[in-house]
Amino acid sequence: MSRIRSITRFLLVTLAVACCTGLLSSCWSRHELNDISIVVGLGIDKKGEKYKVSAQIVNPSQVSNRQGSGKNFSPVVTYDAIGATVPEALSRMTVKAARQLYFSHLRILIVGEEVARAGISKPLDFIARNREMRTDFYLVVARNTTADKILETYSPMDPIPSNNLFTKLETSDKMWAATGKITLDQLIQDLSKQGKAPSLTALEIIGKPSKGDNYADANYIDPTVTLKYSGMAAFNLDKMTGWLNENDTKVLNYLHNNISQTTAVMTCPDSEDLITLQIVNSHANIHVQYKNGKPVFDVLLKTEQDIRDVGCDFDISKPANVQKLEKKAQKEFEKLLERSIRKAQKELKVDIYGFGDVLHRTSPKKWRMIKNWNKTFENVEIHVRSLVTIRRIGTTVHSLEKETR
Amino acid sequence: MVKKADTKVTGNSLYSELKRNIDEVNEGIGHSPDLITRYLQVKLANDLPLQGAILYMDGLSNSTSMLQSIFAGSDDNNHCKTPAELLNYCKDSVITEGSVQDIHTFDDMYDLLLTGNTILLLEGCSQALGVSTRDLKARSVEEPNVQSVVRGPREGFTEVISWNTAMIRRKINSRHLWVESLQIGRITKTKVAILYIDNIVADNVLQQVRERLQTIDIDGILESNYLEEHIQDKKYSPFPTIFNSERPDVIAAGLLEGRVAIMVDGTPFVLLVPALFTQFFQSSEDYYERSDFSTLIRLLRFVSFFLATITPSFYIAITTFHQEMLPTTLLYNLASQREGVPFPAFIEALIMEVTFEILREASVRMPKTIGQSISIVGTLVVGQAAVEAGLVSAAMVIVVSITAISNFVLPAFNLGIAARIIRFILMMLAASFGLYGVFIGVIAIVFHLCSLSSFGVSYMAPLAPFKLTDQKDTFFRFPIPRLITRPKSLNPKELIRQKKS
Repeated sequence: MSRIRSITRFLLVTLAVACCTGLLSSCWSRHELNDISIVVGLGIDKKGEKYKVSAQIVNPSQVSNRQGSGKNFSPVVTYDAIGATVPEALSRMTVKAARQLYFSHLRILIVGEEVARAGISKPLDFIARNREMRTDFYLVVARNTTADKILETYSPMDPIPSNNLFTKLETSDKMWAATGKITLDQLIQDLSKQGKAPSLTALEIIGKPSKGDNYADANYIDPTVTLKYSGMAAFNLDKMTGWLNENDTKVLNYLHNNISQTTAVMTCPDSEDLITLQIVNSHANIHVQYKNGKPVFDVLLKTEQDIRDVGCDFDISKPANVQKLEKKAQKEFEKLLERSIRKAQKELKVDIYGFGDVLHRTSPKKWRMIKNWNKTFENVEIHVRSLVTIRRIGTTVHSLEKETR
Repeated sequence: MVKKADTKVTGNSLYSELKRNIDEVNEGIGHSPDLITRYLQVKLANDLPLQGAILYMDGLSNSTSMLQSIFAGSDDNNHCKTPAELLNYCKDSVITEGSVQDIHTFDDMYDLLLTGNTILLLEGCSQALGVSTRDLKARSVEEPNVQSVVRGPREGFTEVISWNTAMIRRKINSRHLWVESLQIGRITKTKVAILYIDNIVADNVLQQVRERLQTIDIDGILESNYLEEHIQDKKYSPFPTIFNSERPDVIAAGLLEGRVAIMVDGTPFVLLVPALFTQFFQSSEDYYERSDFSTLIRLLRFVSFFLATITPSFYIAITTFHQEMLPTTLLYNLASQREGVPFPAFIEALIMEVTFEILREASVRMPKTIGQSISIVGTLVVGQAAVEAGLVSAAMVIVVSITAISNFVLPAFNLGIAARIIRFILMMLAASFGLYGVFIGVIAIVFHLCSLSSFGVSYMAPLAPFKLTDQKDTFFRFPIPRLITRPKSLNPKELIRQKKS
């Protein structure tokens, strides 16, 4: 009897627990998919002493191609709110947004230029601390505009502008290398490094910004307004100090070994016509040595290149000529690198390339003797050497220029 | 108590008066009209006529040939002086049937009469003959419906136990195939047979089978599940610890591996013990197709079991707790499908799962002639109308369909039931605790599985305890020339099954 009783008791307890778990499932961190607003883009701007935070939210039924979804609403909505801190502004946003904001699928975080110049560590603390934030979104700086303007601009092709920005950055970084995919963890690492200043990709609005927030604008074959990446922003600690142009950004990627593919143009060895080279493989090595107790850096950039386009009558079928091209390319590269490094030393006065970091890693004792690295960096000696190997010349030998003549 | 007294009255020995005997039998069987009594006249040596009678149950026996021989034989029987002599003469020289037994008590007479024997009674003789004239009205050997194969034998067991044992004997022509027979069921007196190969089977398994069967005291056995539930190791577990099959080749293969088969008269489903968890993922066809293909299919079955068990709970957990785990574009899609769905994902899943279970049960039970209509209603209701009415999201339909289809991949129906039961528990856990709950549930199931055993063999063998040599036929099916040993986990007397070639 006692066995039966214990079994019935066990069954009753299990049943009770099962019922409770089913009914009381208003559980911690549980939200149905239609109870959340998926935030894909977040912008942080300054409004006086306060922050103006804007969030781009997806309207899922307008994004997926489900039949009978009816009316044409906008696929995304951008709300903004002002608060003394970023989280306060986001909490205040709930008076405008219908559902709970959900940040895990954030694709892009845009920092307004004003905020960037004033310092990004304060507003980013929330982002780094928040449990929902993954570190796979990219951070960019709005150039000549504000973050909320960018988030209020439609994009053609992709109904979700933030998604569009995300993929655009990925493709351009892969194919052109004049942008930088900086994620939150990378930025935080750079911020905490003393020998390397952080840098973030810049984002611009081209065209008439006011037009961009109507969906009809995406109907034009030539959009009146486009979002475009243009170079990067250099930071001194957490404050932005200046812009890097396209070439500077490329050099930055060369030195950080972030190039997967890019294109370089130079003049022919014996004419003013142009030759295009595609960089398919690149590896940079920074070496430190000491001259009179002062550090001297040697940069060696090894690249493998393919000939993409020949605009002049130059016979590349001869190996000697190809070597000639290589020599010329090496010089061009050395020039390019030197110019950008010089600019960082003299104009921006921050070590975005991370020479200090190399020094720190190779000889930590000497690094500790240096009080102010940025000051030292301005006058440090940097030698640049480039090694170019041309691998492939393409499927034609002579240039069309020559054939038509 | 009444019953016992009853048997005592009928248990006494036969009378010498024919009339009294027949009256007694008629009384004992309640004057049932299917008891046929046929009086006949035979002659003794001195041409004295003697009254005799045969009794048989209508439909159970066919006594034509016996009658023929008695009438033919009684003409030239001139030596018998007493009825008893005549009876013996009949037994030895007249009756042509194979099995003839002497009957002295009414008890024996009932037993034989009711199993299809014909009883021969003579006047003045307190003895009778029971002649086996069984006439079986049974289904012939057909292709099994449940466990069908593409390649392999097409015969299945029938409801007649003697045919079933014969089918096994036909496959295993060895004197070491031993059959033990016993009767279970106070009223039904069902024949049960234990089959094993004497020089392979592990003694302790056989001993346990005998002991457990002997302790059963039940009024009737109508199907082998009556036995299964009596002799299984754990009463409360969704997982079956006894294998069943209606295919002679499966049972023969089990016997060759050192297992014990239990047959029950009246059902084509034969039990096989000890049963291991991985055995339920193996189909006889695994051995009839090439090993590479079999391995692939076997792995697919494990995946399917996993899918059938956890897909809905996984979906619930991810869409309500861990949206960050979804690819972003998939999240948009799922979110857009959920727009306007009024119920939480758990309730949504429950609606669909229950609907599906109802459809499945209905299609099993309903008359075959209207079976088609249910599939139309089913696909329309489950597949489309529910989505279009906004009751459930389209993704949920996919989840439920995947679950349902995966369930049917399992060759053993009873393991599929386990998956169905566990699925609902896991769904509840997923709705309350997310993936955390799902995995707590899965871990609990693994614990439970490891705690099970079947007739002294660990249920999870050869995975836990791990047996390296048995891995050749667990997840993988090595080529048959490589299957040199029998499963070690079953502890057979003779481990080697073939010589290395």
